[in-house]
Amino acid sequence: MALGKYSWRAVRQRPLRVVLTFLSIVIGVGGVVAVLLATATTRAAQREMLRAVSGKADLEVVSDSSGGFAYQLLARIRQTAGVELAAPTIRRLGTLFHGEKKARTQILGIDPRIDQEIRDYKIVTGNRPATLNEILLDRSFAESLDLSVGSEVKLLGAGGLLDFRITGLVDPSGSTSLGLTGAAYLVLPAAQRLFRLGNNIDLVLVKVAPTEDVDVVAQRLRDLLQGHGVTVRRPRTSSDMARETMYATENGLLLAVAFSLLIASFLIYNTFQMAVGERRKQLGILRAVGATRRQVAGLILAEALVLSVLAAVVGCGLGYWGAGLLNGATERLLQVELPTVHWTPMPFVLGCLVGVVVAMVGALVPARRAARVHPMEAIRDIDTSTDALLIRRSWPAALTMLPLGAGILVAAVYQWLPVGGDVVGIVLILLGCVLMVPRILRRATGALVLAMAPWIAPEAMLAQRQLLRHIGRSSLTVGVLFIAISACTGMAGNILDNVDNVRTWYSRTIIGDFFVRASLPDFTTGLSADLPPELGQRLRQIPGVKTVAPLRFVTAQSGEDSLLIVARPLIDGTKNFFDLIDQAPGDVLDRLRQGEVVVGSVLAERRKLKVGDTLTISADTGKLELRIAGIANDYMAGGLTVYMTTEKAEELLGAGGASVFVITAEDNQRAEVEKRLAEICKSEGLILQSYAELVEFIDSVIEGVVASLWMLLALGCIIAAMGLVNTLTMNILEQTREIGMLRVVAMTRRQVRTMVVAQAMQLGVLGLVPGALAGVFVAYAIGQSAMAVLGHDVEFRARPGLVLGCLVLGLFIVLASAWLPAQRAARLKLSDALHYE
Amino acid sequence: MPIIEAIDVKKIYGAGEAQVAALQGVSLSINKGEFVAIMGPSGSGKSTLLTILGGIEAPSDGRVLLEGVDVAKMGDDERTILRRRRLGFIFQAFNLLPNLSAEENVRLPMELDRRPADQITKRCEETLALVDMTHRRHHLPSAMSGGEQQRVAIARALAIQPAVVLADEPTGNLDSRQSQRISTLLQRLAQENDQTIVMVTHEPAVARVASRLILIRDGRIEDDGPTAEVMSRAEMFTMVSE
Ligand SMILES: Nc1ncnc2c1ncn2[C@@H]1O[C@H](COP(=O)(O)OP(=O)(O)OP(=O)(O)O)[C@@H](O)[C@H]1O
Ligand SMILES: [Mg+2]
Repeated sequence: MALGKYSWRAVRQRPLRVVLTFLSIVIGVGGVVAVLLATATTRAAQREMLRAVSGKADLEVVSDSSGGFAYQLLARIRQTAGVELAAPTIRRLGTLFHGEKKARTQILGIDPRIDQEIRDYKIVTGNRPATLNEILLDRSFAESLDLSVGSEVKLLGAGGLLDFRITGLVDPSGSTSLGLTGAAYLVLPAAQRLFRLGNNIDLVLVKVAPTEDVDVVAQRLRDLLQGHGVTVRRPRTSSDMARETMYATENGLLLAVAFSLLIASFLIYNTFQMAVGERRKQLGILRAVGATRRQVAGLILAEALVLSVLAAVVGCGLGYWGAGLLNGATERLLQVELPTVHWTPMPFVLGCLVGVVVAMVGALVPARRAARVHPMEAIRDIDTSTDALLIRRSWPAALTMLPLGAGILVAAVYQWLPVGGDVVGIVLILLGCVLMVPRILRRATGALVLAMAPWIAPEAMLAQRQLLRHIGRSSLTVGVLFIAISACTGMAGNILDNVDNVRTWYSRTIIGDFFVRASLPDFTTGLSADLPPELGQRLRQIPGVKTVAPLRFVTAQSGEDSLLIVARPLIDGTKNFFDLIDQAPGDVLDRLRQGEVVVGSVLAERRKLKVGDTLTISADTGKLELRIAGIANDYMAGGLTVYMTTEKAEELLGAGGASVFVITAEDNQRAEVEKRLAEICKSEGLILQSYAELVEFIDSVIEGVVASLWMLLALGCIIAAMGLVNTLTMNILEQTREIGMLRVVAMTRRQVRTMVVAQAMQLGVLGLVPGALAGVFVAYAIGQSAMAVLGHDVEFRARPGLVLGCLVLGLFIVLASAWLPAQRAARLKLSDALHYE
Repeated sequence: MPIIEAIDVKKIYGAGEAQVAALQGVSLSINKGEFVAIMGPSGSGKSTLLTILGGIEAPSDGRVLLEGVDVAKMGDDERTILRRRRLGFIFQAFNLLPNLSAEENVRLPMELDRRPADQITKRCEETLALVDMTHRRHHLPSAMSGGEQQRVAIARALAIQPAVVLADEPTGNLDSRQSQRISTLLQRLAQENDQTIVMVTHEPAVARVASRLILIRDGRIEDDGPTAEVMSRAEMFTMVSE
């Protein structure tokens, strides 16, 4: 009880110290919570991007025969563990009649209640079909036929000619727009009737629960459905490529979480060390007057517990509020829409756990030390022995951690470890670097003092001495800065690399402004049938049209995989048809002209193909051997693509003509060209797709990801800055008496300020400069480990601008953080300072 | 013109019930080259008077003139410069920066004043020799005894060749031989260099070296005059032995 009173007195005597300690936990816990929430947002934004590129379905169950399979299987699929959603589908071709007009169309029988959760389209006008004679129609298809909501149409299927009324128009979005163009959507029983299918269906699209491994669920379904005449597979549009591209970013996010935990721990541990360490003398006196070690330790622990639990609660609130605030600010500032995240208790639990546990450890270590030393010794001023001990212990720890981390990283790059192994390796390496700081602190700060000497020699020297007085604490602060900046630059670099990759692909692969396609896409591949050959000529004659390239899609089989063959003419001297890996475009184009092919990177990785290898495929015309001229990053058809020239396709596959015309227009005539194209398409019953729409959508999603990234970075900066202000203020608080004496003896306010800022600068330079370099390494390392998974480099770009920017920003934050404590030190009242105990 | 002049200086600490009147109207004037000792019981206000004379603390009431200038009217920088060029401080306790060696502690005020390095080195060596601390120049305060720390503090105060030395019990931690050494050193400074010394002390033996003695009790000057006279008057009231 007497000791409890003592605690309370200690709080009252040094309210600022208590407030700062409290704040450090609030900041740490808040930081962890906010980062976890923000990563959830980023992850959701990425999932949107992934879906945009590859569709929402994770698996599909398709019938092996043309008659479909029993609807009853759906119930069993739905009951399978890990299946979140299963949508039944009938997919057939039919013909649509409206007055005089008639057009082939893809007919989808769906369950309208759940279908939009798994297929990407928006109902732009009207409603979902509810009865047996209502349909939805693709908007551009409807426009090409002059149809609108309320129009009456007839559909012809194997079961006869039936009447329908259009209840709504839909716009397919994302890459599924390739597959869904020109479709009519019916309720399932109507489609069954139209094609006389009884109670059979063609296809079930399956969404797997986010917590489950898709391959595991696929295997479960295979076991379950064996002998029912169905195949379970990943959908064509669900591109491994896009999924795997996200893998690298996911890794970056893991890194962000690891870093936020590290920084929070450092921060909290540091302040508690300080707060309790500063009371070493008092604790020594307590011991001297008869408190037992247990009593002293109990006292400190109880204080830490109360303080940290209270602060953790406040921190959770702050983190939640801060993440929401940042989210909103990002949306407004960057004009993007971020997905809303359903919050789970995990971030809060983890945040609180870190706060309380680290606080206890941070308090107990100095308390035990204070309790151990002889009471008389504790009363002495400086505790140099522990610093020597720290150096003796940290150095070998650093020397073991560095090679250990490097080993783990290498193992991760060679894919001997599960996902996240590289993060563990990187974190270990960075920790190893931080552990080297105590040993080199003296020399490193010494060098900085020399550098500052021409201007502020005595101030710089005093600053250095103050830092050296508590080597552990200074090292931790350097560590916070080091880790914060390496995390920021590393993550930023890596994610920008990834986004760049996607963007590059878009700009290189979709080279046209408009696509013109027939209204009859092949639903299994997203392919359109041939376009009338004379159409190309007509399109070329439209004023403002620069180029018209006929593209032909053909499917083929190679072993297990069904491939998409894209035949294209090599015209216009355009160099960047492909996002080639490690090859000169000119060379590859030459070899393409000679009849070789370019394959997608996923295919190359899956089949271990290299440039110069031969790929065997079986097409309708028989087995073919294709020599590989190049490997390209590709996101179409899951990267299982083979590109060849139109001539070669005609020769080998007998596939002439075009499935799609890709049109580019002069920049200033796009609008007119679009108008003319629309007219032609309408009269021909063709579908016009503007590339801009598709890419705008993809772009907006990518922007969401980038925005989330900036949000994370901003968060990192804010946490680091707050932590720094806190640590520096605490440091200054502890120097109150010395500063008072210096002021009396010789120092002007300005000089005091300079000294404090010099302290911050020394910490800043020591932490930030190597940290920025480490950040480059982090980005490189993540890229390397991503390469193993993606089958190609996430092309690493040195970004001196980014690194320099982060560095300058970091130094600025350090200076700004030093300002408050510097001001406080300069304004210190001399008489108070001299009496400060 | 007196180098230090205090006019009806009062100092009140705290407020309300906890109010302490540390000085209740002190007037004095000290001339250049004088060696003044201040004596008085513990808590009588000696340290307070010294800090006010040095411009570290502001008086609650009254004025302090240093070389004819009102300290209260100076800006903070001006006061700092004055302290670092004209005044040498020796405190009752806690004098040295714990993270600087003896030599660095002595050099610091001159370095902060941006004096030429060779001059700093010269002064540093001279004053450390004066207090007999040359052999410990590279040691940190934590490795020195209380008396040794005190001597380094004296060296630091003297290194700048101050016009006025303000010393709060400079010999408090010293044995009688060292006390004697320091007090004669201060005496020599006053006599030979015309420096002004104001020194608080509890030891009559040390005070005897001063040319003038001021007795303080309960925040008021009780007696002031040539040392020998004041001492003999005080002995009659047995005040000094308190
Ligand atoms: N910061 C302060 N706040 C409140 N009271 C103070 C403060 N500083 C000094 N005092 C009080 O003012 C009075 C004079 O203190 P001062 O330190 O000047 O005494 P002193 O004569 O130097 O004593 P000693 O010989 O013990 O050093 C004392 O009663 C002391 O308690
Ligand atoms: Mg005193």
